[in-house]
Amino acid sequence: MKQLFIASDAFVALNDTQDPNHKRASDFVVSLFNKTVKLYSSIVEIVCAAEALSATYDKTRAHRFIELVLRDSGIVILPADITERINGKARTKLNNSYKDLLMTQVMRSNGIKDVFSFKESLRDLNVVVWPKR
Amino acid sequence: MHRTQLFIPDNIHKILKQEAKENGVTLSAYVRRILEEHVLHETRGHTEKGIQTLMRMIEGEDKP
Repeated sequence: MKQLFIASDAFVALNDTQDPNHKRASDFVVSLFNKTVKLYSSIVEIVCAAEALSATYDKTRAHRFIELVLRDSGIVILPADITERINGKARTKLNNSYKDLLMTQVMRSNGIKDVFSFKESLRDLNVVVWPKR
Repeated sequence: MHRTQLFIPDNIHKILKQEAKENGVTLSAYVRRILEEHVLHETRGHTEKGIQTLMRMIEGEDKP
């Protein structure tokens, strides 16, 4: 794995100690210490994670997260072209939200195959989901 | 492998050729080694910074 895309639910799991996936998310980040992998996300994922943190905690928490991830964080934030039509096959995967379909399209456009997320439904979209089950 | 051509300043070419000779490798192999080291170093730098950011999220640090 040379490139890893971070989904919004992974950001939430990392930031929220009450999230059921917090421990798994933390352990996975620790496992990356000795690897060389470039980290990516998109502005859509950042906004979705901020929205979730704002709902669970408050806007201050959301702002802190945004500042952390956008200010020289080492995470490359990719734009998401929402004018591009979602791939026809992907549209039929009804278990995935529009946001997730857009996310995998952004990944595909940038040659990224691996995603950090806890959404099992992403496995239907031809990406490699980490951490493994 | 991908084949490519590029222009290199004369002085740089001279230095690289000399260093390749001292290292006992062809100029091509030496340039490939330099490029690989640079790319890996850059990526490693990005990885460390990115992981530090994720660790700050886990630890709940307020400031970036």
